Amino acid sequence: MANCLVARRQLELAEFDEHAFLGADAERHLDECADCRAFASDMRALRGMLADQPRVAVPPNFETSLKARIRREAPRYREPRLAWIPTPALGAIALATVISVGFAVRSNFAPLEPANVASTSNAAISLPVSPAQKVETAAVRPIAATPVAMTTARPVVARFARSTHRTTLTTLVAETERSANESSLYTDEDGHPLSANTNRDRVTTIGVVTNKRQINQVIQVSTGTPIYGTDSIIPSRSAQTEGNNDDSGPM
Amino acid sequence: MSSVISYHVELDLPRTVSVDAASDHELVAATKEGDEIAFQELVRRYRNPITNFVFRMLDDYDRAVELAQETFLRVYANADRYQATFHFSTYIYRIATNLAISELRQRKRRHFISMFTPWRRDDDEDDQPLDFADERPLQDVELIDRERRDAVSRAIKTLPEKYRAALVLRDVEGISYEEISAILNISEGTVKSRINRARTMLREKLRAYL
Repeated sequence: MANCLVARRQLELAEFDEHAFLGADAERHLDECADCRAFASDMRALRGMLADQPRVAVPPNFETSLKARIRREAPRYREPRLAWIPTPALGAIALATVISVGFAVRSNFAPLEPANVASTSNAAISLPVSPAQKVETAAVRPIAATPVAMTTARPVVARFARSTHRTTLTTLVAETERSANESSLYTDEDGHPLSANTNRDRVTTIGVVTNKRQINQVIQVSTGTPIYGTDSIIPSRSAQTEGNNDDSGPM
Repeated sequence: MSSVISYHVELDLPRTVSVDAASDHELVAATKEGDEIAFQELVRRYRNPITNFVFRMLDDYDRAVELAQETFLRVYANADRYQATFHFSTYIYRIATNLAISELRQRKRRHFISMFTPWRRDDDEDDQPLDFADERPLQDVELIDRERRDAVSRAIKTLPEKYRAALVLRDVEGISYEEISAILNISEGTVKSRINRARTMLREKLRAYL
Protein backbone atom coordinates (compact mmCIF):
# COMPACT_ATOMS: atom_id res chain seq x y z
CA MET A 1 0.00 0.00 0.00
CA ALA A 2 1.18 3.51 -0.72
CA ASN A 3 2.64 5.40 2.21
CA CYS A 4 1.53 8.94 3.11
CA LEU A 5 4.26 10.63 1.09
CA VAL A 6 3.50 8.74 -2.10
CA ALA A 7 -0.25 9.07 -1.64
CA ARG A 8 -0.02 12.83 -1.10
CA ARG A 9 2.13 13.26 -4.15
CA GLN A 10 -0.44 11.43 -6.21
CA LEU A 11 -3.25 13.35 -4.58
CA GLU A 12 -1.65 16.65 -5.47
CA LEU A 13 -1.07 15.61 -9.02
CA ALA A 14 -4.62 14.34 -9.36
CA GLU A 15 -5.99 17.54 -7.89
CA PHE A 16 -4.04 19.97 -10.02
CA ASP A 17 -3.16 18.08 -13.16
CA GLU A 18 -6.02 17.14 -15.42
CA HIS A 19 -4.05 14.27 -16.92
CA ALA A 20 -3.09 12.62 -13.65
CA PHE A 21 -5.25 10.18 -11.73
CA LEU A 22 -5.18 8.64 -8.31
CA GLY A 23 -3.87 5.10 -8.27
CA ALA A 24 -5.67 2.21 -6.58
CA ASP A 25 -3.03 2.04 -3.85
CA ALA A 26 -3.47 5.72 -3.07
CA GLU A 27 -7.26 5.31 -3.03
CA ARG A 28 -6.97 2.51 -0.47
CA HIS A 29 -4.53 4.59 1.57
CA LEU A 30 -6.97 7.47 1.65
CA ASP A 31 -9.70 5.25 2.98
CA GLU A 32 -7.55 4.34 5.92
CA CYS A 33 -5.56 7.53 6.63
CA ALA A 34 -7.43 10.46 8.12
CA ASP A 35 -4.45 12.82 7.80
CA CYS A 36 -4.20 12.18 4.10
CA ARG A 37 -7.93 12.69 3.70
CA ALA A 38 -7.53 16.06 5.38
CA PHE A 39 -4.61 16.81 3.09
CA ALA A 40 -6.75 15.94 0.06
CA SER A 41 -9.49 18.20 1.32
CA ASP A 42 -7.03 21.08 1.84
CA MET A 43 -5.62 20.66 -1.64
CA ARG A 44 -9.07 20.68 -3.16
CA ALA A 45 -9.98 23.83 -1.26
CA LEU A 46 -6.70 25.50 -2.21
CA ARG A 47 -7.23 24.72 -5.86
CA GLY A 48 -10.69 26.24 -5.64
CA MET A 49 -9.40 29.37 -3.95
CA LEU A 50 -6.67 29.89 -6.54
CA ALA A 51 -9.04 29.29 -9.42
CA ASP A 52 -11.59 31.68 -7.89
CA GLN A 53 -9.19 34.57 -7.81
CA PRO A 54 -10.82 37.35 -9.81
CA ARG A 55 -9.09 38.22 -13.04
CA VAL A 56 -8.22 41.83 -13.53
CA ALA A 57 -8.78 43.57 -16.84
CA VAL A 58 -6.88 46.43 -18.39
CA PRO A 59 -8.23 49.97 -18.02
CA PRO A 60 -10.15 51.46 -20.99
CA ASN A 61 -7.28 53.75 -22.00
CA PHE A 62 -4.77 50.88 -22.14
CA GLU A 63 -4.29 50.86 -25.90
CA THR A 64 -4.26 54.64 -26.28
CA SER A 65 -1.66 54.88 -23.59
CA LEU A 66 0.32 52.00 -25.14
CA LYS A 67 0.34 53.73 -28.54
CA ALA A 68 1.66 56.91 -26.96
CA ARG A 69 4.37 54.97 -25.18
CA ILE A 70 5.34 53.17 -28.37
CA ARG A 71 5.75 56.47 -30.20
CA ARG A 72 7.77 57.86 -27.33
CA GLU A 73 9.80 54.91 -26.10
CA ALA A 74 9.99 52.13 -28.67
CA PRO A 75 13.56 52.90 -29.83
CA ARG A 76 14.75 52.64 -26.25
CA TYR A 77 13.42 49.10 -25.96
CA ARG A 78 15.14 47.73 -29.02
CA GLU A 79 17.54 45.09 -27.83
CA PRO A 80 21.13 45.25 -28.97
CA ARG A 81 22.06 42.93 -31.82
CA LEU A 82 23.93 40.55 -29.53
CA ALA A 83 21.14 40.32 -26.96
CA TRP A 84 20.37 36.75 -27.99
CA ILE A 85 23.78 35.62 -26.76
CA PRO A 86 23.66 34.75 -23.06
CA THR A 87 25.59 37.22 -20.94
CA PRO A 88 28.16 34.67 -19.66
CA ALA A 89 28.95 33.62 -23.24
CA LEU A 90 29.27 37.25 -24.26
CA GLY A 91 31.61 37.83 -21.32
CA ALA A 92 33.74 34.82 -22.28
CA ILE A 93 34.00 36.05 -25.87
CA ALA A 94 34.98 39.53 -24.69
CA LEU A 95 37.58 38.09 -22.32
CA ALA A 96 39.06 35.87 -25.05
CA THR A 97 39.24 38.88 -27.37
CA VAL A 98 41.00 41.00 -24.76
CA ILE A 99 43.51 38.23 -24.06
CA SER A 100 44.19 37.70 -27.77
CA VAL A 101 44.68 41.40 -28.33
CA GLY A 102 46.94 41.52 -25.28
CA PHE A 103 49.15 38.77 -26.64
CA ALA A 104 49.22 40.39 -30.05
CA VAL A 105 50.29 43.72 -28.62
CA ARG A 106 52.95 42.14 -26.44
CA SER A 107 54.36 40.23 -29.36
CA ASN A 108 54.42 43.39 -31.44
CA PHE A 109 56.45 45.14 -28.81
CA ALA A 110 58.64 42.32 -27.60
CA PRO A 111 61.89 43.35 -25.91
CA LEU A 112 64.43 44.26 -28.51
CA GLU A 113 68.10 44.73 -28.54
CA PRO A 114 69.02 48.37 -28.27
CA ALA A 115 69.63 49.83 -31.66
CA ASN A 116 70.68 53.16 -32.87
CA VAL A 117 68.00 55.25 -34.24
CA ALA A 118 68.20 58.02 -36.73
CA SER A 119 68.35 61.43 -35.25
CA THR A 120 65.12 63.10 -34.67
CA SER A 121 64.40 66.70 -34.95
CA ASN A 122 61.63 69.13 -34.61
CA ALA A 123 59.46 67.33 -32.13
CA ALA A 124 60.12 63.84 -33.28
CA ILE A 125 61.60 61.05 -31.24
CA SER A 126 62.37 57.83 -32.97
CA LEU A 127 61.77 54.67 -31.04
CA PRO A 128 63.28 51.69 -32.72
CA VAL A 129 61.14 48.60 -32.73
CA SER A 130 61.24 45.26 -34.37
CA PRO A 131 62.11 45.52 -38.04
CA ALA A 132 60.07 42.43 -38.65
CA GLN A 133 57.02 44.21 -37.41
CA LYS A 134 57.83 47.22 -39.57
CA VAL A 135 56.63 49.53 -36.88
CA GLU A 136 56.80 53.07 -38.02
CA THR A 137 58.53 55.65 -35.97
CA ALA A 138 55.90 57.75 -34.39
CA ALA A 139 56.07 61.40 -33.72
CA VAL A 140 55.61 62.55 -30.16
CA ARG A 141 52.81 64.99 -29.95
CA PRO A 142 52.57 67.56 -27.20
CA ILE A 143 49.83 67.01 -24.67
CA ALA A 144 50.14 70.27 -22.82
CA ALA A 145 49.26 73.69 -23.99
CA THR A 146 52.86 74.81 -23.61
CA PRO A 147 55.02 71.97 -24.75
CA VAL A 148 58.62 71.83 -23.71
CA ALA A 149 61.16 72.67 -26.30
CA MET A 150 63.13 69.46 -26.53
CA THR A 151 66.05 69.50 -28.81
CA THR A 152 66.67 65.94 -29.60
CA ALA A 153 69.04 66.11 -32.45
CA ARG A 154 71.02 63.26 -31.05
CA PRO A 155 70.55 59.55 -31.05
CA VAL A 156 68.18 58.06 -28.56
CA VAL A 157 68.36 54.37 -28.04
CA ALA A 158 65.21 52.85 -26.78
CA ARG A 159 63.51 49.57 -26.61
CA PHE A 160 60.09 48.54 -25.51
CA ALA A 161 60.49 46.65 -22.34
CA ARG A 162 57.30 45.88 -20.52
CA SER A 163 53.84 47.11 -19.86
CA THR A 164 53.51 49.60 -17.05
CA HIS A 165 49.90 48.71 -16.43
CA ARG A 166 49.02 45.18 -17.25
CA THR A 167 45.40 46.09 -17.64
CA THR A 168 46.11 48.89 -20.09
CA LEU A 169 47.30 47.39 -23.28
CA THR A 170 48.07 50.69 -24.89
CA THR A 171 50.50 51.72 -22.19
CA LEU A 172 54.03 50.61 -22.84
CA VAL A 173 57.33 51.51 -21.42
CA ALA A 174 60.28 52.50 -23.42
CA GLU A 175 63.52 52.17 -21.64
CA THR A 176 65.95 54.68 -22.97
CA GLU A 177 69.62 54.19 -22.71
CA ARG A 178 71.60 57.25 -23.27
CA SER A 179 75.23 58.09 -23.02
CA ALA A 180 76.57 60.44 -20.40
CA ASN A 181 76.65 63.45 -22.61
CA GLU A 182 73.10 62.89 -23.62
CA SER A 183 72.01 63.30 -20.04
CA SER A 184 72.85 66.94 -20.21
CA LEU A 185 70.09 67.25 -22.67
CA TYR A 186 67.72 67.57 -19.72
CA THR A 187 67.85 69.57 -16.55
CA ASP A 188 65.80 69.36 -13.43
CA GLU A 189 63.51 72.13 -12.34
CA ASP A 190 66.41 74.09 -10.82
CA GLY A 191 68.31 74.04 -14.06
CA HIS A 192 70.93 71.49 -12.97
CA PRO A 193 71.84 69.06 -15.70
CA LEU A 194 70.60 65.58 -15.06
CA SER A 195 73.42 63.14 -14.94
CA ALA A 196 73.04 59.63 -16.14
CA ASN A 197 74.78 58.44 -12.99
CA THR A 198 72.90 60.38 -10.37
CA ASN A 199 69.56 60.48 -12.01
CA ARG A 200 69.59 57.33 -13.94
CA ASP A 201 66.26 56.19 -12.66
CA ARG A 202 64.67 59.45 -13.49
CA VAL A 203 66.24 60.00 -16.82
CA THR A 204 67.01 56.75 -18.40
CA THR A 205 63.71 55.12 -17.82
CA ILE A 206 60.88 56.78 -19.52
CA GLY A 207 57.50 55.56 -20.37
CA VAL A 208 55.77 55.93 -23.63
CA VAL A 209 52.04 55.95 -23.72
CA THR A 210 50.96 54.82 -27.08
CA ASN A 211 47.76 54.56 -28.94
CA LYS A 212 48.56 51.63 -31.19
CA ARG A 213 51.54 52.87 -33.17
CA GLN A 214 51.05 56.51 -32.39
CA ILE A 215 53.07 57.77 -29.48
CA ASN A 216 51.09 60.30 -27.57
CA GLN A 217 52.97 60.90 -24.43
CA VAL A 218 56.32 60.27 -22.80
CA ILE A 219 56.24 59.80 -19.09
CA GLN A 220 58.85 59.31 -16.43
CA VAL A 221 58.13 55.93 -14.98
CA SER A 222 59.78 56.40 -11.60
CA THR A 223 57.54 59.34 -10.74
CA GLY A 224 54.78 59.00 -13.23
CA THR A 225 55.41 62.54 -14.36
CA PRO A 226 55.05 63.29 -18.02
CA ILE A 227 58.44 64.32 -19.39
CA TYR A 228 57.14 65.50 -22.64
CA GLY A 229 54.61 68.24 -22.55
CA THR A 230 55.31 69.47 -19.05
CA ASP A 231 58.00 71.56 -17.48
CA SER A 232 59.03 69.04 -14.86
CA ILE A 233 62.13 68.28 -16.85
CA ILE A 234 63.27 70.76 -19.33
CA PRO A 235 66.16 70.79 -21.75
CA SER A 236 69.30 72.37 -20.43
CA ARG A 237 70.45 75.68 -21.79
CA SER A 238 73.32 74.08 -23.55
CA ALA A 239 71.01 71.61 -25.18
CA GLN A 240 68.69 74.39 -26.14
CA THR A 241 71.53 76.38 -27.58
CA GLU A 242 72.82 73.36 -29.34
CA GLY A 243 69.38 72.58 -30.54
CA ASN A 244 68.98 76.07 -31.85
CA ASN A 245 72.27 75.77 -33.60
CA ASP A 246 71.03 72.57 -35.10
CA ASP A 247 67.99 74.44 -36.15
CA SER A 248 65.87 72.13 -34.10
CA GLY A 249 62.73 73.89 -33.12
CA PRO A 250 60.33 73.15 -30.32
CA MET A 251 58.04 70.24 -30.68
CA MET B 1 -13.58 41.82 -37.12
CA SER B 2 -13.35 41.78 -40.89
CA SER B 3 -9.85 43.19 -41.27
CA VAL B 4 -7.19 41.21 -43.04
CA ILE B 5 -3.46 41.18 -42.59
CA SER B 6 -0.86 40.45 -45.20
CA TYR B 7 2.65 39.22 -44.57
CA HIS B 8 5.47 37.62 -46.48
CA VAL B 9 6.77 34.14 -45.97
CA GLU B 10 10.37 33.59 -46.89
CA LEU B 11 10.73 32.71 -50.60
CA ASP B 12 6.98 32.73 -50.98
CA LEU B 13 4.21 35.01 -52.17
CA PRO B 14 2.53 37.29 -49.69
CA ARG B 15 -0.17 35.59 -47.70
CA THR B 16 -3.39 37.25 -46.70
CA VAL B 17 -5.50 36.03 -43.82
CA SER B 18 -8.21 37.59 -41.73
CA VAL B 19 -7.05 39.03 -38.42
CA ASP B 20 -9.36 36.80 -36.44
CA ALA B 21 -8.11 33.64 -38.10
CA ALA B 22 -4.45 34.60 -38.01
CA SER B 23 -2.19 32.70 -35.67
CA ASP B 24 0.01 34.56 -33.23
CA HIS B 25 3.03 33.86 -35.41
CA GLU B 26 1.26 35.32 -38.44
CA LEU B 27 0.33 38.40 -36.48
CA VAL B 28 3.93 38.91 -35.40
CA ALA B 29 5.08 38.42 -39.01
CA ALA B 30 2.65 41.11 -40.13
CA THR B 31 3.68 43.38 -37.25
CA LYS B 32 7.26 42.95 -38.39
CA GLU B 33 6.19 44.40 -41.75
CA GLY B 34 4.59 47.38 -40.07
CA ASP B 35 0.98 46.20 -39.88
CA GLU B 36 -0.54 48.11 -36.98
CA ILE B 37 -3.78 46.11 -37.07
CA ALA B 38 -1.87 42.88 -36.51
CA PHE B 39 -0.14 44.35 -33.49
CA GLN B 40 -3.45 45.64 -32.13
CA GLU B 41 -4.84 42.12 -32.42
CA LEU B 42 -1.89 40.72 -30.48
CA VAL B 43 -2.49 43.33 -27.79
CA ARG B 44 -6.19 42.47 -27.73
CA ARG B 45 -5.46 38.76 -27.30
CA TYR B 46 -2.89 39.08 -24.55
CA ARG B 47 -3.55 42.35 -22.72
CA ASN B 48 -5.77 40.86 -20.02
CA PRO B 49 -3.85 37.61 -19.37
CA ILE B 50 -0.55 39.47 -19.17
CA THR B 51 -1.93 42.19 -16.93
CA ASN B 52 -3.59 39.61 -14.71
CA PHE B 53 -0.40 37.58 -14.45
CA VAL B 54 1.74 40.59 -13.55
CA PHE B 55 -0.91 41.74 -11.10
CA ARG B 56 -0.83 38.35 -9.34
CA MET B 57 2.93 38.57 -9.20
CA LEU B 58 3.04 42.11 -7.79
CA ASP B 59 -0.35 42.59 -6.14
CA ASP B 60 -0.23 46.16 -7.50
CA TYR B 61 -2.73 46.95 -10.25
CA ASP B 62 -1.27 50.23 -11.51
CA ARG B 63 2.23 48.85 -11.78
CA ALA B 64 0.87 45.69 -13.38
CA VAL B 65 -0.73 47.77 -16.13
CA GLU B 66 2.51 49.69 -16.69
CA LEU B 67 4.54 46.51 -16.92
CA ALA B 68 1.99 44.90 -19.23
CA GLN B 69 2.38 47.91 -21.52
CA GLU B 70 6.13 47.62 -21.28
CA THR B 71 5.82 43.96 -22.27
CA PHE B 72 3.96 44.92 -25.45
CA LEU B 73 6.41 47.71 -26.07
CA ARG B 74 9.25 45.22 -26.08
CA VAL B 75 7.36 42.87 -28.35
CA TYR B 76 6.74 45.71 -30.79
CA ALA B 77 10.26 47.11 -30.64
CA ASN B 78 11.83 43.71 -31.24
CA ALA B 79 9.30 42.20 -33.62
CA ASP B 80 11.85 42.04 -36.43
CA ARG B 81 14.03 39.75 -34.32
CA TYR B 82 11.27 37.47 -33.14
CA GLN B 83 11.99 33.83 -33.91
CA ALA B 84 9.02 31.50 -34.09
CA THR B 85 10.87 28.82 -32.15
CA PHE B 86 8.40 28.82 -29.26
CA HIS B 87 4.74 29.66 -28.96
CA PHE B 88 4.23 33.40 -28.98
CA SER B 89 2.53 33.04 -25.59
CA THR B 90 5.77 31.57 -24.21
CA TYR B 91 7.69 34.52 -25.60
CA ILE B 92 5.39 37.18 -24.20
CA TYR B 93 4.98 35.50 -20.81
CA ARG B 94 8.74 35.22 -20.57
CA ILE B 95 9.10 38.96 -21.09
CA ALA B 96 6.36 39.66 -18.56
CA THR B 97 7.87 37.24 -16.03
CA ASN B 98 11.29 38.85 -16.33
CA LEU B 99 9.81 42.31 -15.88
CA ALA B 100 7.78 41.22 -12.87
CA ILE B 101 10.71 39.46 -11.21
CA SER B 102 12.92 42.46 -11.90
CA GLU B 103 10.33 44.71 -10.28
CA LEU B 104 10.12 42.42 -7.24
CA ARG B 105 13.89 42.50 -6.85
CA GLN B 106 13.96 46.27 -7.08
CA ARG B 107 11.29 46.44 -4.43
CA LYS B 108 13.24 44.08 -2.24
CA ARG B 109 16.35 46.28 -2.56
CA ARG B 110 14.31 49.35 -1.69
CA HIS B 111 12.87 47.45 1.26
CA PHE B 112 16.34 46.51 2.51
CA ILE B 113 17.45 50.12 2.78
CA SER B 114 14.32 51.30 4.54
CA MET B 115 15.32 53.40 7.54
CA PHE B 116 12.02 52.98 9.25
CA THR B 117 11.69 49.23 9.42
CA PRO B 118 15.26 47.93 9.43
CA TRP B 119 14.33 45.08 11.73
CA ARG B 120 11.52 43.78 9.57
CA ARG B 121 12.11 40.35 8.12
CA ASP B 122 12.04 39.75 4.43
CA ASP B 123 8.58 38.76 3.28
CA ASP B 124 9.97 35.80 1.41
CA GLU B 125 11.21 34.27 4.61
CA ASP B 126 8.04 34.86 6.50
CA ASP B 127 6.51 31.51 7.33
CA GLN B 128 4.00 32.81 9.81
CA PRO B 129 0.32 32.33 9.07
CA LEU B 130 -1.11 35.47 7.53
CA ASP B 131 -4.33 35.63 9.45
CA PHE B 132 -5.99 33.91 12.29
CA ALA B 133 -9.40 32.57 11.64
CA ASP B 134 -12.22 34.74 12.84
CA GLU B 135 -14.65 32.28 14.39
CA ARG B 136 -17.52 34.72 14.56
CA PRO B 137 -20.29 34.07 12.09
CA LEU B 138 -20.30 36.49 9.18
CA GLN B 139 -23.55 37.54 7.66
CA ASP B 140 -22.32 38.65 4.33
CA VAL B 141 -21.22 35.81 2.09
CA GLU B 142 -19.68 38.24 -0.34
CA LEU B 143 -17.65 39.74 2.44
CA ILE B 144 -16.34 36.30 3.34
CA ASP B 145 -15.41 35.62 -0.24
CA ARG B 146 -13.66 38.95 -0.54
CA GLU B 147 -11.71 38.36 2.62
CA ARG B 148 -10.71 34.93 1.40
CA ARG B 149 -9.59 36.30 -1.96
CA ASP B 150 -7.57 39.00 -0.25
CA ALA B 151 -5.96 36.41 1.97
CA VAL B 152 -4.98 34.36 -1.08
CA SER B 153 -3.53 37.46 -2.76
CA ARG B 154 -1.52 38.30 0.32
CA ALA B 155 -0.37 34.70 0.66
CA ILE B 156 0.81 34.59 -2.96
CA LYS B 157 2.62 37.86 -2.40
CA THR B 158 4.68 36.33 0.38
CA LEU B 159 5.96 33.46 -1.75
CA PRO B 160 9.55 33.69 -2.96
CA GLU B 161 9.56 35.01 -6.51
CA LYS B 162 10.70 31.78 -8.16
CA TYR B 163 7.90 29.80 -6.51
CA ARG B 164 5.43 32.58 -7.10
CA ALA B 165 6.03 32.77 -10.84
CA ALA B 166 5.62 29.02 -11.29
CA LEU B 167 2.50 28.83 -9.14
CA VAL B 168 0.76 31.81 -10.74
CA LEU B 169 1.52 30.59 -14.24
CA ARG B 170 0.13 27.16 -13.44
CA ASP B 171 -2.64 27.58 -10.89
CA VAL B 172 -3.91 31.05 -11.79
CA GLU B 173 -3.16 31.31 -15.50
CA GLY B 174 -3.58 27.60 -16.22
CA ILE B 175 -0.49 27.27 -18.41
CA SER B 176 0.90 23.80 -19.03
CA TYR B 177 4.01 22.56 -17.22
CA GLU B 178 5.81 22.28 -20.53
CA GLU B 179 5.18 25.90 -21.43
CA ILE B 180 6.06 27.10 -17.93
CA SER B 181 9.31 25.22 -18.32
CA ALA B 182 10.00 27.19 -21.52
CA ILE B 183 8.91 30.50 -20.01
CA LEU B 184 11.08 30.16 -16.92
CA ASN B 185 13.86 28.39 -18.80
CA ILE B 186 14.05 25.56 -16.28
CA SER B 187 13.32 21.85 -16.54
CA GLU B 188 9.81 20.53 -16.22
CA GLY B 189 10.84 18.61 -13.11
CA THR B 190 12.01 21.83 -11.49
CA VAL B 191 8.74 23.51 -12.43
CA LYS B 192 6.75 20.76 -10.72
CA SER B 193 8.99 20.85 -7.70
CA ARG B 194 8.62 24.62 -7.36
CA ILE B 195 4.86 24.47 -7.75
CA ASN B 196 4.63 21.68 -5.20
CA ARG B 197 6.70 23.70 -2.75
CA ALA B 198 4.61 26.81 -3.40
CA ARG B 199 1.36 24.93 -2.78
CA THR B 200 2.70 23.51 0.45
CA MET B 201 3.68 26.99 1.61
CA LEU B 202 0.31 28.39 0.60
CA ARG B 203 -1.51 25.59 2.42
CA GLU B 204 0.35 26.51 5.60
CA LYS B 205 -0.34 30.21 5.21
CA LEU B 206 -4.00 29.76 4.36
CA ARG B 207 -4.75 27.02 6.88
CA ALA B 208 -7.33 29.25 8.52
CA TYR B 209 -9.31 29.51 5.29
CA LEU B 210 -9.16 25.92 4.08
